[in-house]
Amino acid sequence: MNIWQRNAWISLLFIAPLWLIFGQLPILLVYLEGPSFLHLFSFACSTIVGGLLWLFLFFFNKRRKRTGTTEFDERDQLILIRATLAAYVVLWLYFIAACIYAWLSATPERSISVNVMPMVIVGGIVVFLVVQSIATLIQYGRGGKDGEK
Amino acid sequence: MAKSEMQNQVRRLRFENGEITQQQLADKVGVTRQTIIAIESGKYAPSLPLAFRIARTFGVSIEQVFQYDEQET
Repeated sequence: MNIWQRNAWISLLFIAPLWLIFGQLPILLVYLEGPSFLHLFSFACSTIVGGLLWLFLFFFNKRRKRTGTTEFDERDQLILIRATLAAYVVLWLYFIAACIYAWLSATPERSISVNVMPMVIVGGIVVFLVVQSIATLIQYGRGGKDGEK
Repeated sequence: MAKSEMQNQVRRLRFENGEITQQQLADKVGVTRQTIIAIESGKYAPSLPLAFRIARTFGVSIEQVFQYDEQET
């Protein structure tokens, strides 16, 4: 198991569930205490950073090259790009489904809570992390078994 | 429709060149051992620069390491 498979497992088993639990915290606080700059700012910052964290994977390549050890090569990059692409496809479908669902739910008689919007964002991050991790593990699983010699 | 199939002689060349290990070859060409395993088993087609580096490591031409067969299906 290489560092990227390990990262995918960590992301799948720990980071995604943590996002699911603690990502809802600012939404709950705003719901209970009313909107405050601190809650909204912390939510915006954490979702922006959380949603763009995958970009650091592509800087890892250059950092490792300087240290002389090869832990990231063209195949790893291809796998991560494919996994990210798959995650974005599913994220887009999720986003469309969430929008359509909200649209259908709101009628002249009924409305949906505005808190649904940040929940959709948190859900999107979780969906992205889960799909990216699974896609990474599947791709390594197909060609990444440790052979002899 | 054309179906492409990449074949390679990396494993044979490793043994013919002093039985170098997958890790040694990986270090020489600057990739991970998993990538060498994937190339040898035909699950990954390397980029041209990597294919050239592998060929030069063995001191042969790229065609002697990698063969490309295109079959009509």
